[in-house]
Amino acid sequence: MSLVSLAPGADENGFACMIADLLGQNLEANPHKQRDFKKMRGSVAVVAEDADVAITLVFDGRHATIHSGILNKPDVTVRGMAEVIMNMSNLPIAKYVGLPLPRLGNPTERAAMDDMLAAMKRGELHTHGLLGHAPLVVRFTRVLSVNG
Amino acid sequence: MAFDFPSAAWTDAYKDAINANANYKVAGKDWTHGAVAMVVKAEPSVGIAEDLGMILDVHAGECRGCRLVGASEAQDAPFVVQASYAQWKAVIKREIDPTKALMQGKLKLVKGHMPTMVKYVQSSKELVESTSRVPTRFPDEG
Repeated sequence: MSLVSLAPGADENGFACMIADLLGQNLEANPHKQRDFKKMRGSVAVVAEDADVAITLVFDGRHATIHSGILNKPDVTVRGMAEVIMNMSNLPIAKYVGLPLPRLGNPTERAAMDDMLAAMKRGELHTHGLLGHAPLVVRFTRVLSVNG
Repeated sequence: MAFDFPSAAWTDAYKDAINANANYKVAGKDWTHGAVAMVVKAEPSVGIAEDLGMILDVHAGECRGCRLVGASEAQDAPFVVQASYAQWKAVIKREIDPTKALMQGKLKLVKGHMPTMVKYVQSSKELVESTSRVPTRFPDEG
């Protein structure tokens, strides 16, 4: 059984298909991310407000199912502009601490981090449920990151 | 002078537009993952009898070639982005944003490694942005 699947009907949602490919291929190419993946339990909704699309990822510790739209009451909801949400996957992840941090002296990673912080200041990205589910949010960021 | 979309003349002009895009040179400088094909789905009402592809031989911030091919040949490219004629037209006219269009399923990555595409999202956006720099005549606009 694959690690990631689409719920019935989600194949009609372009965002759901993108995230299914991104997550599945990222886990396949980076086995170390599977350690995080296997600790993830809960649901994360992602809403790209300006694109008018939403998905909910449900993690059960072995598998993730991606649903179209917002399913029930997600543990965590990330709302933002489409471009900002895409850029979340490009955040640098520090090797040992496993958090989104740029390496010293790397202007590309610094710029990616600065862009994200600026977008948050402008109100273009909100994360609801972060305080109650911080480990899920951190792992979610790590398994979807294409950097590290 | 405007070029008919899609046509061999348009793809030649597209190559020049990519290479004239300074932002693409920067954003695509680390791209070494092979060609990208853009497939236009058949639309007989505007004279596109069957699916067509444009293969962009892009490497390290440069477009080394751009060819109009049949859909089956386009599928040989490592990355294939597919959309209807109407959606490509909207992209070329900058009526839709490519990131939103991907999320909405209007543009689809039908072949290729999604994490690589996401890693080089700015490069992909500049490739798409370059389409709007080609003087274009659309067959359904007379």
